[in-house]
Amino acid sequence: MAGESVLIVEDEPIVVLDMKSRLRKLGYQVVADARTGEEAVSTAKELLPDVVLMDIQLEGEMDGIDAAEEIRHQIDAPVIFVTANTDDETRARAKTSQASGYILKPFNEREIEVIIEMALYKHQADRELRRSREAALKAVKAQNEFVANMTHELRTPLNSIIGMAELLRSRIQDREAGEYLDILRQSSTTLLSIINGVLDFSKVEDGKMQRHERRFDLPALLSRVLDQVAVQAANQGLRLECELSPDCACELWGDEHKLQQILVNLLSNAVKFTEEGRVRLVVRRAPYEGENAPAGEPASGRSAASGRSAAPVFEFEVSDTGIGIPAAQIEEVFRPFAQMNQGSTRKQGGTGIGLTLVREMVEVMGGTIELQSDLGAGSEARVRLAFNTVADPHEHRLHAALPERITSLHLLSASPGRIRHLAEWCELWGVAFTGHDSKEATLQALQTARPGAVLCLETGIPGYEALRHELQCGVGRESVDGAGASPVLGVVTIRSIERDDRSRSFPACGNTRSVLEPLRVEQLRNVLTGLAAEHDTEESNHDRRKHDPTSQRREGGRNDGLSDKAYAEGRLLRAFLEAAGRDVEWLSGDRIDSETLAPVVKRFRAAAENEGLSELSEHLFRLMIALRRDDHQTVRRLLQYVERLCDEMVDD
Amino acid sequence: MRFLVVEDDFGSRRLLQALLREWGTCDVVVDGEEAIEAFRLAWEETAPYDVLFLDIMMPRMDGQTALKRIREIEREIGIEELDQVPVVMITALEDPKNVIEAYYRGGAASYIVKPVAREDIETQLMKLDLISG
Repeated sequence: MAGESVLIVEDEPIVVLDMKSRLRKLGYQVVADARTGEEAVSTAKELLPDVVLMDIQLEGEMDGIDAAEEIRHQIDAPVIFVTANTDDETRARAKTSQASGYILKPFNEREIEVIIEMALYKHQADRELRRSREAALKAVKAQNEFVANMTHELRTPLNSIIGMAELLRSRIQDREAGEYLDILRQSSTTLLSIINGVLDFSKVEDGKMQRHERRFDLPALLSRVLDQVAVQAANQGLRLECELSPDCACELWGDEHKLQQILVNLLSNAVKFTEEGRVRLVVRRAPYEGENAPAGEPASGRSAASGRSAAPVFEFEVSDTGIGIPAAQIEEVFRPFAQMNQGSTRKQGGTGIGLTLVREMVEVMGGTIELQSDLGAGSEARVRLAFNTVADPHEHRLHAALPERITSLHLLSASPGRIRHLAEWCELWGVAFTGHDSKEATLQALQTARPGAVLCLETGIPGYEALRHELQCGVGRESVDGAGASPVLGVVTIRSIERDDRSRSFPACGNTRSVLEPLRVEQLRNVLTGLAAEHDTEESNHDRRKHDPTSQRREGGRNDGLSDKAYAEGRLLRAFLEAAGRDVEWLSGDRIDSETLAPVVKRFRAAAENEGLSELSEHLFRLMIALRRDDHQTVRRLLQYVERLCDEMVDD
Repeated sequence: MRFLVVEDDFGSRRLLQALLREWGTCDVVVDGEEAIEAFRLAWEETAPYDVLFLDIMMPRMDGQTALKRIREIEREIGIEELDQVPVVMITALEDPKNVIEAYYRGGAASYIVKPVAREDIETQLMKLDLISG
């Protein structure tokens, strides 16, 4: 017995005397006795007893339960109720008052001793628990502060690395050196976004994540987002697609930075976990639902004042054809540091905080996120966020009609989504649109087109090569009635990677432009406007242009700066694809004929090696290996890559 | 000299390729499974590699497993221990345990810690008596 001090609160003097003597006998030190609740509180504060024995029914305003409550706020000691009163209501109140014990009068010495000891012991344990929790929280806080400072320190030099690489890039002519710089730039940008992720994560842990709202342009933001993942997607041979519905081309009010982070995280995750196929971002207005509803609310500056609930909801959907997530793990992927498979053979790197951050940010912005997935078939993440529009969307620059010169747009594409999407925009621009998935249909549309038609082609799709060939041979050169100028104003190709020195032209049919994947409405619109403007200038300078080599070069015709190497590569690629039977349907997995393909690949690999075409040689070597292993997935991917490379190269 | 580089990261692959060009030609694959096949192919064509540069962390099959399989194949085709192909493991700093595993049990000649520098490769090639100092 350590002689703990006890405060007795009891309004019956006889009982007080009795308790005092019993407690002393047990070895406790009774420091005081109080008669009313108020007195109990003030005495407890003054004497800081180790334990308080509290009668429930007391004289005065404050009963024992209220007094116990107050004492617990004031001092760190357990309170035990000692009472004869056992009606239901009192018992219920006593139960919820977090008392450390409850003993009925009359009691014997043994009982009171056990109750006091247990209360003291439990209270001590609670106190330790509380202390270690506080210490742990403090440590986490310190660690988060450290991480925040550290990441800041890391970012500073990294920013100059990125900046300098960018500066240097514009001065580098040599292709190989340029490629090295691109890798440098890409890797440091990746590192920067990892660091930013860690920084944001430490803010989440600290509860410091806040909204920073401002006015921003949604199409411009999407463009930046796509730029960040385009290179990685192209390197993996993935198609990256973006659909922006016209009513989303507008300026908004909200946390632009977080939206960007959310989309970059979702898209780079999709790219990371997709081996072949495509990654698509779709942005549309969410259907109105529930009280979020005022349908037909004019989207204007005034609606911003009408409260959050009235803001239109935007839906951002990121889907892929990747490995997917098992249903049981869908919730799991949002947990920090979780990754599906670990160990030294894991395919996808990463910090494991991306989705945690996404969810936090979506929550901070008051939105929702859903994740759906089919294992092996792909995943789909859908984020819904409300933003006020700050200007009439119909006045957005993307909505303006195209110059009258452009009469129709004909698209040859493998993607149904792309066709639907562009049809919507063309209608808005007042341009006739036809979308096709076969070469024949495209040609037919072109043959009956009015002057001013523009053809838009996706590289690396079936029929591309054949269509290109026919266009070269003059289809589309003459108008339907055989008189007047060519109906085709220009050709726009959608390509995966920028290759300045290898752009391909279609001299037979107007000007050639290329846009980088993913095709953005903004880009396409600029290119179309440019084509129309150039055509106007051309008409007035028709003769001069014919003899002006610089204008030829600008249009992507054969280029003086083009290296022999690039020519050799283009020639070799074409010959290879021909020898390998390009038009046979090799892209459907079961049709790969390893035995005929293997010797062809081997022959061309040797040729590529001889000509010093290391990139091509590397791909063909891997193709040889994949064929030997009967790894059809890799074979298909490499063939697709080579095919696209070829489509994006110069003509002979 | 003929090298085989086994590395899944695009940037690291390009770097090794560019550095190795000084001393010979270089085939490149991206994981352990492809490495084994490339190794077999080289023997079939009676043009085995002089050195393998093997990354440890890779998709599908990691570097250590690939190394073990390669040593097995060498035993199967009757190559003496002394004639085994020298293998240099490429490692990020974070996996010393893996390096030791490869080094002592898998029969790796040595290892290089990323980022790989020209001198690292030169030192290794000298140690292997493939070039003179």
